[in-house]
Amino acid sequence: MIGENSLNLCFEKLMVFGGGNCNNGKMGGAAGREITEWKDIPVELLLGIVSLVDDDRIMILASGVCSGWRDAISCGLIHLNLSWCKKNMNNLVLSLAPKFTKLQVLNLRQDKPQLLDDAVEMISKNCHDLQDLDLSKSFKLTDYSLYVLAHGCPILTRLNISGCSAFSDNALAYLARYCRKLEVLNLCGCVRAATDTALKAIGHHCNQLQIVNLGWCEKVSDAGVTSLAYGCPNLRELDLCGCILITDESVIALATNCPHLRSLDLYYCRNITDKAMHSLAQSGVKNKREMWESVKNRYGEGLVHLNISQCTALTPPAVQAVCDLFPALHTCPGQHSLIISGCLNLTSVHCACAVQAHRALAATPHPAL
Amino acid sequence: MIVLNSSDGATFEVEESVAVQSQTIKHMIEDNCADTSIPLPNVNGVTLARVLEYIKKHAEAKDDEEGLKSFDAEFVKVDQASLFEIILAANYLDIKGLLDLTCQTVADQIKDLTVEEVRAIFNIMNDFTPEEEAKLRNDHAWAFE
Repeated sequence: MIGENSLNLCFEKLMVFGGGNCNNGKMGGAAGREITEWKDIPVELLLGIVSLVDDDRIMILASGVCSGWRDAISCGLIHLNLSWCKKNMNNLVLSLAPKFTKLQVLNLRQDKPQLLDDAVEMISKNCHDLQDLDLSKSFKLTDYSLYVLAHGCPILTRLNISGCSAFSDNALAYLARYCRKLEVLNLCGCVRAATDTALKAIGHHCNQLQIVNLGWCEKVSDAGVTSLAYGCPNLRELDLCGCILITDESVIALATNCPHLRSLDLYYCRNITDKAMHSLAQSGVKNKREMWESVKNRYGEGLVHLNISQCTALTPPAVQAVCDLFPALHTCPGQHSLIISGCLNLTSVHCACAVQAHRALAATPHPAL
Repeated sequence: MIVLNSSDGATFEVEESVAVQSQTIKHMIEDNCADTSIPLPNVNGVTLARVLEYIKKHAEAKDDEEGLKSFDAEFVKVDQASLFEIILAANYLDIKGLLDLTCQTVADQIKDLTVEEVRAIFNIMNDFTPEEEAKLRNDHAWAFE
């Protein structure tokens, strides 16, 4: 990914000396172009080349060739993936963050936890343009990392701290106060951090949120989810798998306040009843009406994914109503977007195509009979 | 026909329909900067000739995918200095296909090399101070061990 500015800079650099020499019949070599050797290759060209290599270790290799290449990569590198690193990620980040100050996307997902607070501090001190940060499974990070990120990387739009079990909710709430541009937030498995307290702060400050993952955050209750629903009108996808405390109240708040909701996971939310389904159905009706009144397609297709597995209190008519209202919800094999595993009483619920296929089969005369 | 002048005074004639594979030339023509000839002060004669070879082939054999593939493969079998010139020219002239081809060629060359090997191929001197060199060796070790 190459910065627009460096492209323009380079073009100017190429043009500056070329100007007046061409039309007066001068003989001899390339007229006054500054760049003649590989070591002087323009920033965006070098970056264009190294980006074609699938392995981001090339960035480290290329930075070690000569000072020109090192400077070019430092000046232009926007995307970096270090998730391949098995042992020395912390050392690498400490060394590279001060060099790659233009980073916008940084993937530090770990298989083996390596990252420590000092590395995150180095990022927060140097990479102020960071928009997308993946810190998943950073088991060794403490709240200090969230505090420094809040101050150093205020334009974050995507943050993944799934599996970071050591973070507390106060630190997450603090980050929410400063990182108000967040659009995607993955808190899957952050049991300590994702509480109603944190969600209230997030709902209050992070009003641009579109995609939130609260999977297995078992302390989350209606208070937290409703705060999110009221504060984040652009919410499109919400994962509440394993959030066992929530009730219909959460779903009703979402259905009422989040017209763009397209994906909802309620796996294992045993308290959910038909009341929740009715509120979703009502939002479907409301959106269809508004769709015709205002700009068409403004609200899209409505729900395209609904996971109500293990929501054993639900009955077929309520779920069927939702299925009927949202054409993108399918129970047919291959398009499985209405997921009802473990709900033995819901086996009669079918999407329109499943019903049609059934009818077609029934209508075909059976030769053997 | 369009006339192109290289930096070292060589002149080339090429059909407009072929020349406009270069977005740079295309814009110059559209902006009426092309009355008699188009000056290309950043491309020497040898390189311009090669570039024209590429765009002529890609214009005439447009639908022959196999043929173009083998042409491209042969086209990039040049020394590093020439490859460098072609990359710069393709960038300056904004010829996407040629730029993609040459950049991919270099990417494929360097991806499995060591730092020393890269320096050798591209004739680049190690201009780091001993301190810088030591730090870079650490980075390298951490990344590649």
